[in-house]
Amino acid sequence: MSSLWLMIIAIVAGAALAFGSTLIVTSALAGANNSPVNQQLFNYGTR
Amino acid sequence: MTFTVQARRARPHALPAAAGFLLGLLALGPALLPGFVLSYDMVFVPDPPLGLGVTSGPARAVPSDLVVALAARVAPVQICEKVILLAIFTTACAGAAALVSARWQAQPDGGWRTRLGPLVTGVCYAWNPFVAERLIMGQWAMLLGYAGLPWVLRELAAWPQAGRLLAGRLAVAIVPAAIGGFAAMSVTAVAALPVAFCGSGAIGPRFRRTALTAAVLLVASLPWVIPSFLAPVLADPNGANAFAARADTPFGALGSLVLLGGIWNARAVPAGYGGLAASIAWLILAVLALSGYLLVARPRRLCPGLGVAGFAGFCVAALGTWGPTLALLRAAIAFWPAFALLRDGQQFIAPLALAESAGLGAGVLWLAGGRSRPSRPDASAAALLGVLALLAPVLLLPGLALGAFGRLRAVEYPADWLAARTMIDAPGTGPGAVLLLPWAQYRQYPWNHGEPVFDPWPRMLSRPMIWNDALRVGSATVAAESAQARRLGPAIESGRPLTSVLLRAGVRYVIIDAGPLLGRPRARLAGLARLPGARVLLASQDLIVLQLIAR
Repeated sequence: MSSLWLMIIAIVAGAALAFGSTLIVTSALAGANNSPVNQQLFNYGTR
Repeated sequence: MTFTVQARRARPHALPAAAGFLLGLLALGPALLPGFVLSYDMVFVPDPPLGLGVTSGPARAVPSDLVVALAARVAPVQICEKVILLAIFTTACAGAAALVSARWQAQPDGGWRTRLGPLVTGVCYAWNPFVAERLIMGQWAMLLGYAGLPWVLRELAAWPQAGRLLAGRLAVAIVPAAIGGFAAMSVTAVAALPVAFCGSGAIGPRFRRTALTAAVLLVASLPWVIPSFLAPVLADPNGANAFAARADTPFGALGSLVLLGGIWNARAVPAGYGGLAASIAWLILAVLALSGYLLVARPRRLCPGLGVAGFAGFCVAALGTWGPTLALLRAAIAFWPAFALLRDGQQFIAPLALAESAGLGAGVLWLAGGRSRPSRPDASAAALLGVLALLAPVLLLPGLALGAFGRLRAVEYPADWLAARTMIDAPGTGPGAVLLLPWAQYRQYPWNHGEPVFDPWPRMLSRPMIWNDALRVGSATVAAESAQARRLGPAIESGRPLTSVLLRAGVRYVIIDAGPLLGRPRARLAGLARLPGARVLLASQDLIVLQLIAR
């Protein structure tokens, strides 16, 4: 692999990481939890 | 081809340890303020009584509770808690980095580039969905074993070079897992035994090494194994369904496990994780990490057996995700309750987390030219990729930062609680057990910002405690595992008066620390609690304490 290609990969990876992390941080700040997990603990004794 | 042991450097673990410490500061954030961090199974109380942590149920907090109680004789517990949590990040990061650097040949001109790979390994191992989900679940004792795991494997991988003396070093490396107890030791065993067997040497020495490793693991497990044999352990096979790994990404349960998530509890998934962007980003990272392991780390025998351990852990984690294996696990638990160790399967992906982290770091080392090869790429591009790999876990999982985005916060116990403890445990108050109501195991106290937590009272008092350790998870109910809870449960749930039943069972005090009775008029509390004749010792917005009086 040539140095040029490696540099291009590094720049693209950096841009993708910046974009992805911005999306994820925005989602986290919005309090969004898009997890498809459909179960949780129900045992709080509040009745 | 085997790499030679890296030349000694001054303070080789300082940089990864510092990075792990900083990650711990970032992850804990507000949890480091004065007070106690209470989240699910993470329960620390001020001045805990010195006890073995053995209850009438399974020996879950053995010997971790005893170690905390002993540490409390030296420093305030809230300080001990923060030290433990920071130590998890520091030890995990430094250990994973040490595992990689110990087996990678340093180049004389390698400089910082050869230190970047191990650092990438350490950061990825200390900051990933597994750590986030288990930290939110409050499983600090299991995470102690996770943090110590790379140190254990490092000793095993170095065994042929260093001879018999390493048996002692292995025992030292297992100490964090031994403190953690059953979950930490189980995870360690799944990783350590394959690595012990797959290391270099003829078949005879490999068997001897494996046997010695098993012996060390067994001795370190005795604190929780012995109580488990002394008292009958009850385990409901429904636990296999309830605690099976679940999908927390769009890639299904198995895909989520590969991405190092997949915990059974939706509320333990960190903020921002599980959506499409985060899932795809972590998928790319996991693919790169696994490629790094298979193409770089494994051929160079970075840690022989780590891949087998990761795969074995993945298989155990996946047991609950497929009908036939789930049925097999249920049958195994019904046959012998000890198999309940396997029911919370997701925790067994810890070796996979280490394999992926090592793969990511090995890939960076390869790019950085940690080993001489003909076509060495441009150094600056390789360095940029290495830095991106270093930052990626943190940037792609912001939900772990700042106390898991505010989920982990330090709080103080209400003053009423401490006063009640003094009153109940006072000398001369006579024997008798304490019953905990409402008849449930976890609470969401307003003073803990509504975060779920295991009821702290069993750790507050030196008296025997009776509480309901049954759980309702999703649509499944996991029956109580304590014999006393099973015996008293029907009476408590019957709606009939309880005083005589509880007195016959040896109960002297009843604590009510949640539910609609809090704040009700003091004069009516005994009747409302179905405890006619009981004396109300304390009644506030946070707590009610009643004393049962034999007629």
